[in-house]
Amino acid sequence: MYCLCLKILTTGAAEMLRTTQSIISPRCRLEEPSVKHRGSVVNRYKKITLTLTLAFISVSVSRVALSAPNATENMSASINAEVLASQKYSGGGMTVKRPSKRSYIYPGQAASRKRQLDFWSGFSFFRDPWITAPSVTKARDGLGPLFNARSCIACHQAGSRAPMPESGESLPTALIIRVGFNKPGLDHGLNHGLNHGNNSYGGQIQSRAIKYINNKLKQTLKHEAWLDLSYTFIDGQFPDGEPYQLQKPHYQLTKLAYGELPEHAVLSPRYSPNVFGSGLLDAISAQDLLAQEDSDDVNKDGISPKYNRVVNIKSGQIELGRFGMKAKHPTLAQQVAAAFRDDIGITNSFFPTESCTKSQLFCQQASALGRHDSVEIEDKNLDLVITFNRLLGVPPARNLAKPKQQQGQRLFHQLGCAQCHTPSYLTDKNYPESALANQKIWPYTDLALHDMGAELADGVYEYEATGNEWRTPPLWGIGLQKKITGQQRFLHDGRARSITEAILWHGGEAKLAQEKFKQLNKTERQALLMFVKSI
Amino acid sequence: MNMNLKKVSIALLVACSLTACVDDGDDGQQGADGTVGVDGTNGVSTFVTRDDVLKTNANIAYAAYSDSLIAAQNLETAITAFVAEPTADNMQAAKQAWLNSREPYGQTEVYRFRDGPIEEREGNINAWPLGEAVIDYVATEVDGEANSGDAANIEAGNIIANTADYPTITSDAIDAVFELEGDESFVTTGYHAVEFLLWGQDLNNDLSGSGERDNSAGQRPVTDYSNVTGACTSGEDAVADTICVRRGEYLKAVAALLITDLTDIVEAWEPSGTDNHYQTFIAGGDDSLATILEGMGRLSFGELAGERINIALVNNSQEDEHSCFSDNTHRDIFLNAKGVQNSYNAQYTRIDGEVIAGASIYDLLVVNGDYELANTLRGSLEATMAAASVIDTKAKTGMPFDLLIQDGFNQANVVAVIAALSAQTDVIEQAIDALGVTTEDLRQDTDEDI
Repeated sequence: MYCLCLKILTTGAAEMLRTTQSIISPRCRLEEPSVKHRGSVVNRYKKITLTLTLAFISVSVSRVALSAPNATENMSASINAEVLASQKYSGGGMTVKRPSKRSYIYPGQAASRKRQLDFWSGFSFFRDPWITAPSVTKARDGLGPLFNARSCIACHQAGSRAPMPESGESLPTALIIRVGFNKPGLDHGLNHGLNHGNNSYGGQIQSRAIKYINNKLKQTLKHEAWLDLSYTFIDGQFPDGEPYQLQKPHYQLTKLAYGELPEHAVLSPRYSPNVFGSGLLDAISAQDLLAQEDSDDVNKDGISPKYNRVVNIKSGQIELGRFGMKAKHPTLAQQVAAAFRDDIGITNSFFPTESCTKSQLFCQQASALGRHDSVEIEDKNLDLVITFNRLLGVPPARNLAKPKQQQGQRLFHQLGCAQCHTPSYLTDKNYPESALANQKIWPYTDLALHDMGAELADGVYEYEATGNEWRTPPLWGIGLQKKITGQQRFLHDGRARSITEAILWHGGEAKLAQEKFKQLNKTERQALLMFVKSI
Repeated sequence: MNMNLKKVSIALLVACSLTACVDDGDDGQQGADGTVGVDGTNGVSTFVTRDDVLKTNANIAYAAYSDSLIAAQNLETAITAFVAEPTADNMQAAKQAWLNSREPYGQTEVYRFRDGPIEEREGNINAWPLGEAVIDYVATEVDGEANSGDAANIEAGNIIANTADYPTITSDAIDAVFELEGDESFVTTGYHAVEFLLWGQDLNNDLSGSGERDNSAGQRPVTDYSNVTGACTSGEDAVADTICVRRGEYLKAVAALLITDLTDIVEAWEPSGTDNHYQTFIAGGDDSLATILEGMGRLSFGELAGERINIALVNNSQEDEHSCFSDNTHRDIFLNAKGVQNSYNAQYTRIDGEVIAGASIYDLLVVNGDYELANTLRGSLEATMAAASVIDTKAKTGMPFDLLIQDGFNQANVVAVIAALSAQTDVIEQAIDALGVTTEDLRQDTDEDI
């Protein structure tokens, strides 16, 4: 955020520093926020950047003004101490105290012991497999009838991303396939097309079905389809001659059990995201996000952050979307509840009906035989799982003081990465979970939708999100993915096998930044990657 | 002059108390150098080092897993005798052998929350909840709640009844279907499978699951293993003789598998081994020390207080107690907590009564100058054991855990254990900070080539 700090300086100081600012972050967004949000924006910048501003003024001004070529070094030296101190704690008080090589699953240290007890209690519902109802384990049954996985952790291994399927045919688990529509208005996502007459599959391909043998059920329930995943390889090279290879995925559903897909239906692959830190993203105030909105690119910087407007299923109100690959859900709670229903088949107070469509008669019958009077996960247990997700801490940043990482950080801003991967926020001071309120956090996302180009597009509309648009994911902690899960795969469909590949897939609004990345020399590219791996 | 001396000594006294500089141990009266102090006779410790602590911890791990193996072999012997001669006495002996086998194993669970040989096979050894309908018949109702009682209403039929898919029951066969097709609820092996096959589901004394919960454990009739022609049962139902034979085969197979798994772990912890986990661990320095402490904290709080006790309490759910068939959950809680205390005090009593003791984290904290913390942690672990012993006693005198967790009973006793475990976790955290150790050195991890 420090690229934005100039906005609050009084004019004299601002003039003095304007050159500096362009040196530090030439692509820093200078557009004025829309009028209705300006007040809150200014307040926020004041909070976040006051110390930085002081540092700018008191230490560096004269040197900067006198010797512009060295300004960057001087500036970073002067801001480092304070910024680094904050930056190290990526999740503010919710940073994990002792990060692990084995898992992201630890509570943030600011969570009270009592809340940590709820955290671990919730974890047992995140980890333990759900079983077919009816059973003696009444708090843990209700699986399916159609489902992708039996537990949350099956797809969110160690709080991260479970292994990608191999090429070829498989039953989608961590990589699920949504069935969306290539036109706006056909389906708003929440009911997953259940009301859409000729869609036998609903909004998601469930690759598994409970094996249920009962006299009352005349036929075995069939799971919906298999996924045939294949890649074509694209060879390329950086201008400096360094070769790279990208893999472009292709998706085909096979053995469709319920007939053809409806007209306008489009397959949208979704690879289970990292879940740690999502409580803190939930705690960013909507105003602070909306302040970044520029959906018509009024400021002509080539970037048009747009926020999805989605239905809060409990209140019926339209709210800002922030969770899901296209920001379909407004709150963490709704996201967790949706995953329970769609991925595991566990009905809940948010989504009380099974994902059986009208044409899936046996699915409906099997559900009725489960003999749950009400929803399959009671609110008290759902709340524990939501609390677990909310309190999941963020690993601390590492090594940011090193010259290489510092160089990478400067490049991150110079290339324009920070235009969408907004480094920092101060979370809402009124957020109900007090440990998460008023925390300085470093997630590197604006949670906004961006056109990412045709190569990444799935063609699916969700509320305001178009087929080319994806929500910026947070970058914190991704450098540990390989160590913790034994694998690193990036982007919404897991196609990228390294951070480099992920950057190279950036198109659309991010094309310019991607081009600039390619133009860097190898040392600079390494420095940028080091930075991203360290945050 | 006298005045000056006085001033100096007062100043020294003040300085000493300000810097918490107590006896340096040289005179051996109360210092950390103990008997090797200059005049020493009654010091508290002799230069315990970190590596001494690691070795004792590893030796106790070896002893506790060895005891688990020995007890599992005794269990197998008792099971073999019972299946050959299915009398009530032999069944009781087998049940007792199972209860005995849990005593050392419960104390090893503190070794689970770190890299180690247990990681790979822990699920096969101790997975829970069991999903018992996969293995054998289940009742139509438990706790007055509907159950998957329709004999056919079980995933592809239970293994014992399903001769088509499982023509013979062997260790390999049941191990092969453990978590079949990635179904983590498909638990077919381990302690709790044996427990279910010996006790059966915890219904009520009258074998009906429709009434109020009572203080009895599972009531599997001995005729479930009958070798008299035409006398075989599945609970109250008469069934084909082959079912009893297959049930006996299952019981023997799962006990044999337990021994195989435990043998591997014992070998990994063998002090005389080369290139095994024992050697890696004792050479691990601060990293190993931190794993001890963090494992203690993780078991105390997340696993024991949170997942095992709190969830059972919140849901009042019988199936969420650890040993739900035998009503032995009070021992699981007690022994898990005991394992944490063992790790701190570096003391373990083997099943034959031999006491293993050595360099402890208590000693190390004292050597480190953290006398008060050493004692506080000792005290909080003791407080937990005291709270756990209340549950233990209640259970042994007719109020098992599944009754304690019910509304209007003695929930306060259960809550007290949670509170004590929480408190001790805070102190363990302080000890980690005081010793300045951390397991996960992430400083270097971004230095590798990308």
